[in-house]
Amino acid sequence: MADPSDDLHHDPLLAAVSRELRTAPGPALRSVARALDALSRERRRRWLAASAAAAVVLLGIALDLRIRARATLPVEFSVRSPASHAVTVVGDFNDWNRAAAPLTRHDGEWTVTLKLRPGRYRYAFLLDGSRWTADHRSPSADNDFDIPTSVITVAN
Amino acid sequence: MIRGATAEAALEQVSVPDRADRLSWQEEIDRALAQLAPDQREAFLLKHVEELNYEEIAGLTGASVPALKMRVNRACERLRTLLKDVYHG
Amino acid sequence: MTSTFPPRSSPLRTDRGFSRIALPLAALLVGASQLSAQDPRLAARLPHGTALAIQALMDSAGRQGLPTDPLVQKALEGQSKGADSAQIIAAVHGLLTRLETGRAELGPNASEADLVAAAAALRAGASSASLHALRLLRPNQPLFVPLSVLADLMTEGIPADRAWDSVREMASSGASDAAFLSLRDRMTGTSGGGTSPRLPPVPERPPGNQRPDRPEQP
Repeated sequence: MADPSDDLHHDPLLAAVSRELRTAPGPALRSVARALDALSRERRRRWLAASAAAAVVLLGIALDLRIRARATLPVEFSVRSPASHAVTVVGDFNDWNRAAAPLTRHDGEWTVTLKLRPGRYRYAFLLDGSRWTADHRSPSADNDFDIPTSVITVAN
Repeated sequence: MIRGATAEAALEQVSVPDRADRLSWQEEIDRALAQLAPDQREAFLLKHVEELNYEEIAGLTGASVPALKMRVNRACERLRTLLKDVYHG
Repeated sequence: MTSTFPPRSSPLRTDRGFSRIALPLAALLVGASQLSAQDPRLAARLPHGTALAIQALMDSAGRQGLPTDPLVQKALEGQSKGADSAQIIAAVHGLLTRLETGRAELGPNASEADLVAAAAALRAGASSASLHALRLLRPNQPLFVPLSVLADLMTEGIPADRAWDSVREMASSGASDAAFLSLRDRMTGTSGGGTSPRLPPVPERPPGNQRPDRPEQP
């Protein structure tokens, strides 16, 4: 149920206030900390401790890490399956959508290159829409659903 | 009000071009926030800066969701009144 | 994706004094009527009751400042593989529990990638104490590569002590992420990742460069 206080899209002035407080970390943190003076001692202590930690994270090295974490890297997936007519790779990087990432065939070897952010991804190949196979060149993933699954770790 | 524009376009037309303007806008915001009642200020910040939902704010503050919505609405009204003359959008 | 300050993974979202709640299935379904808006991917692909149960788990994760996308991915994995609702919900619940442990051991600055890798390590048999130790050994760096490697070593059959000893030693000596991945590749004979993981090959490829088929997983 929509509520006038739910979002500020309809109100340019308040949207500007909200955006200013959210996007100007230095003064905004001090401003937010000051503005919360009226909170109980316990809540204020927790808020300021978290704010100080947030300042270290956001204004220091972690800012760089976050920027790096957003950058994608090209990752090639390949599987040898001369008998298949269609192969897709299905995994954590494409919502386990069985058709989202079709591979292309050259001489019985199927490949596709996807751009992935750093992280750990479970995946498997789907042959001809019906047969799952793991990637034998990659480490095995633990098995939640009785189907062989692989894992890839993408790092900077 | 900008006639015929979507909310998105309206937001995009807001600009705070140079540092002096930006600093004084921040100061005005600080001053306006300081004039809110503490519970209204808290509710506004948790909702529209920290971007918690009402259930989360209720859990944090112990207030009911209807009470929080009222506080946020009152904070919004007061901030509009306090800032309308210094806002250039 | 809009960026928010503080970001959803920030410490400002985690230290809120909510006690961690064990979630028996019945309680989830009873609380289903109070859910916030559903993730459309769940609604599109899962039966309604299952989607509600998963959404309740996601809401719990959100309240604790934990990432929710890994939970969605786990649910969608189950759906894609034809699992039944009970299996899917159990898998997501298990993952949530491991994410909670990961957050408890790695602290509020752990990224989503760190927590996902921590959950994998726990699932593979790592102790929560080892997560905590890794945090202390590499205090200001992402941990998802060492944790991922730890998980992979154990899943591939390396005994837990040996796997942990190798990872701990490398972390103590300040090894790079690339070194961790090389260790994993050497110990398991696989090549799932690296500093330039499997970039598209140069045009000329040596023929017959294939591994023999590995035995099916039990």
